[in-house]
Amino acid sequence: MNKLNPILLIGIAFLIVLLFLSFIGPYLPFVQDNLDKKHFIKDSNNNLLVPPLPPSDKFIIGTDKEGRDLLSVLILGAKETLGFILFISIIRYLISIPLGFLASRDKYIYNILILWNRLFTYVPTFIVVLLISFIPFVLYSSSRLLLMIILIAFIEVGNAALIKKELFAQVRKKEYVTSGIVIGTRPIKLFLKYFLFPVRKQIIVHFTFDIGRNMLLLAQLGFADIFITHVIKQNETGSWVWFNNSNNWPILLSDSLLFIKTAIWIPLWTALFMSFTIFTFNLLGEGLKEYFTKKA
Amino acid sequence: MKLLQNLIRNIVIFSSVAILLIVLVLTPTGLEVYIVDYKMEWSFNWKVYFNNIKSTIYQLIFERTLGGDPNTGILVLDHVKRYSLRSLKIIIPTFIICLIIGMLKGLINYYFEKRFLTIGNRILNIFFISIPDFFILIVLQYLIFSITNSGLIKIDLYGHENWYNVILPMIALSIYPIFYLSKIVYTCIKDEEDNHYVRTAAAKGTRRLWIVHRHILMNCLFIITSNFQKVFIIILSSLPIIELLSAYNGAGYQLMIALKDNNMKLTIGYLFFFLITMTISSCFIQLINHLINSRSLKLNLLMFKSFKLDRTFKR
Repeated sequence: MNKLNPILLIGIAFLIVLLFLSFIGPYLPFVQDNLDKKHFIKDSNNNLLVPPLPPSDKFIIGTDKEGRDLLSVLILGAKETLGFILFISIIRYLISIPLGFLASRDKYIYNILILWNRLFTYVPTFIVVLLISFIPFVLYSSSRLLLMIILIAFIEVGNAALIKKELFAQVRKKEYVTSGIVIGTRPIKLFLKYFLFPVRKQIIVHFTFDIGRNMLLLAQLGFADIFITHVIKQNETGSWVWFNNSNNWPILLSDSLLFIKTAIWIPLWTALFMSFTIFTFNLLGEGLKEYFTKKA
Repeated sequence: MKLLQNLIRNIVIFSSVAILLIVLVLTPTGLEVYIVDYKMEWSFNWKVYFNNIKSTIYQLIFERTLGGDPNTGILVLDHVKRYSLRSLKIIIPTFIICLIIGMLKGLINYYFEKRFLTIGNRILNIFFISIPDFFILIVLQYLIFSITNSGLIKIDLYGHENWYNVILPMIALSIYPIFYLSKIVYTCIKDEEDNHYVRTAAAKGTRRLWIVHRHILMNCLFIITSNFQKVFIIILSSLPIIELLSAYNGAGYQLMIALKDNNMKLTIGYLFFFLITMTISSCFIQLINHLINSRSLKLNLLMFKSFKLDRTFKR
């Protein structure tokens, strides 16, 4: 058994903290589960206060703009947010691994991947996601959430597949692959056992880094007031409005410019939770990389 | 010859990205919303949509203009020019600072390897690579707030009017690229270290500083310069959020506003600003690459070898 290195250990510890927050966090005593939206809050002298309220004894890190305890909102939203970033990475890798494999065989697919990668790097990625989210077919779709996740996954597929192409191209040079082809292994078995199995460690490392990057992208989208969860409803005047009924972290970043001036604790703590997540996955990735290279 | 090839490739990519962006931005023009039984229904009019795309591309190519902004009547070109000059004031100095400090930091990390490669320092490096730029900006703003609240100094943090408004966004934008580039420089030198020519030079008694600067760095340069583009992409892609958070009224901020207001002409105009800046930077970096690499020893050696191989095959 190989010794765990300190970076990996810290990464695992942080990951346990994150998982603890998202799964056991909602049952902790200081977390308020009934998160009703209030227009005002009464203090001990029966004065009416308009949220967002600054940090105090009752609200450890303050409240959000709807008068809910910010810490509770962040903890209750952790599971959903982590689920999103994980799901995006899984979809991206399910598409990019076969694509990378094909690109290592076929030069045309390789060129298409390069073009794909270039297309989305010339304009900031989150701007492209913004543009796509305004397309009516996505905006009014009944399964918008799934569509948005697939879209975010797709946009970075080019980059992810190019990394995998390099890995598979190195494997292709090895002699055991030639022998595998010669003895007539079936293509699927050849792909799984001869190509995917030897590079599994590198793919796990890249996957870990990828999860962290997704968090960053979701945060940028949150600043731009685009959320991957929202519902269309009609209000009293008859016009149609979009609003959120979920607690994921990027939602708290909306209207940040206003809140930075008036209630800086909202963007500050939300950004802190997000940075912690990114830091955790980067530590894990870096630690796993060292762990795997030492083993080999 | 290779330079020409690169130029053609850049033009092809530029035009395909431009067309893709126009197609994406103009999609809401085909939307028709109506209400049936108190429920919103919508349909998509492909004919209107295609006509819009056609007329916009026609306007761009033959009249070389995007026309006026429908809300204010100001020419889109003037609008973009006015705000993008402000953004360039952030982008260009940040890029240059990142390149200089990033390379220097990589070299320093290499020279004082033993002191810098402790676990604590490595975790610190990962920390600085992980924290997003907006978090740095918010923390900096929070710190300056608490200083100004105590009444020591008075600074106007937001806006674009004062010369020091540029500093905060520049710090927030440059931290990630600096750490990224220094890591590249360090690993590059480290990989090169085991080569025979380095050992020979060391055995001959050449000084370490000379070996690194004249031998290793010259051969590493083509890997390092090929990462300059990535640094530029990182800076440009975080620009809109940083401009939004510091209320710096530049191209990124205007792009976000235009997107929210569904102002298609301005959106296309500002997207083109990003596209053109990226293309110019990419051409510029390729030119630098070409100039440096023609002097690179290793690359010349490789080319010489392949040349010899070619000749032997032909015989």
